[in-house]
Amino acid sequence: MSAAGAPRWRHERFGAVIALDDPPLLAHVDQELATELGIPPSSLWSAPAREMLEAPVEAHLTVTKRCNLACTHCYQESTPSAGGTDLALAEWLPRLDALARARVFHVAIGGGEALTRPDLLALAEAARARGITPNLTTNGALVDDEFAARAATLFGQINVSIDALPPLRMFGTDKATTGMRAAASLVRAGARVGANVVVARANFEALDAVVGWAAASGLVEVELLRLKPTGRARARYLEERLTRAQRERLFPLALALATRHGIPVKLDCSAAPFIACHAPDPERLERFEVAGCIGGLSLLGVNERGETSGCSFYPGLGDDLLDLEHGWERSAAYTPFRGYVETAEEPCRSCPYLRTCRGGCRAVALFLTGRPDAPDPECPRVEDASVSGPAS
Amino acid sequence: MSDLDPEKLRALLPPLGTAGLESAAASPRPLRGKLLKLKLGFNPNSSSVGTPVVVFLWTLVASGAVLSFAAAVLAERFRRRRKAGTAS
Repeated sequence: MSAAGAPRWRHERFGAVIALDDPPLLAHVDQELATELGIPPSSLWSAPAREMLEAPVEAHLTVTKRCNLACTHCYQESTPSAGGTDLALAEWLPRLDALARARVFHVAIGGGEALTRPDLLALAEAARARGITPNLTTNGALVDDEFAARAATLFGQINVSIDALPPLRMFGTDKATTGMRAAASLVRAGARVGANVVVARANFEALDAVVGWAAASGLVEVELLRLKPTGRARARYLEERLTRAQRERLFPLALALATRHGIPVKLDCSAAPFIACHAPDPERLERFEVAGCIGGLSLLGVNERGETSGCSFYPGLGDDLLDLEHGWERSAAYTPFRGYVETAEEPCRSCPYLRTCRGGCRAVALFLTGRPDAPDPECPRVEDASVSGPAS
Repeated sequence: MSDLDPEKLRALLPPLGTAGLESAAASPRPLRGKLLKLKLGFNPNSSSVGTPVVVFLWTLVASGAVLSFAAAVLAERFRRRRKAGTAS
């Protein structure tokens, strides 16, 4: 385990990526700054530049398909009786070794509901022991004070899923009552706690209440996640997705909520088109890693069987995480993500945000168009272009 | 966005920590090289990757300061690491 606050780093063609846990940050530095910091030169530094990193910086691990709930929007189609295909702890360990060998800095552990695994803390300890920071997403229902006390020392951050405050119920369940209790317990234990909010048509106007509660309850941030048409969410996606007006309001609303309540508000990678439609400075977006889709570039999805993909919302091709070293370079599973900028069609091709937005969400594009390489049809620019027809 | 309150923006900065920043400030010379990208905070969400929207406001008023501050934090942490290595 690395000492608290000690920097972890790995070489990249441009220089190095450096991760700190305290304060939590991830920095890309050029070769000159890497040298200044004492990082030795690498043969990689003379290799041609490329967009994808030498390895993921972060892997999203679906450690179980089992969940105590059965939300109608679950992208994993989890249920209380699922989980029969989950890897055992002993099978995860060599896969954590593969991530450690590749110098992956973070894993975000989720499910299903990760706490339905009795060995969740052992899994997190195993990641820590390999120099990987474990983070966690949970619905909070199974969090008790004993778990909170141990989790506070293990996880970098724990996000609790709370889509709306009572009495509003979202996606067929009341996650908020238990989630709020869990968040309070984790905050008391000293954990760094955030909230995940899946934003849909029905809770858009109720976001203010969630962000206000989070700020008043000692949470460190709120992440707003775009509803995606994967798993069970496909069934009612067209009725539940954000309206055009809501998509355009999401970014200014997030800014307003952050400043009103004094708490950082995040938008997830799939919301990049809804940011780009407000025409911010593209260079500055890139500098602060305000990225759209980074699947297969610096992000890896891993399902409950240990198979990899570019993103948890997107199907893989059955490559095993055990083979990450070769798979990251060669697997065709990442092609829809990595090739997007070079092959983008209009209106993405001429969009000043192509390199940061990367065409929006591949999972949304696949669902709505049947094509993994299509521009995200819910991007306001794409929608306007399709109405006005091809440019002459 | 002309009515931005810098005090509110400062309050929204993720905690960058303070340990060792005195020595970072006392660095003998400016760092050479460039911080190409900076991402603050963890990403605990296990299905997608988030970006704090407030960085858009920082870029209007203080992006250079945030980057310089982060570079100073890195330099201080690497110095501390070297010292620990020398001592051990």
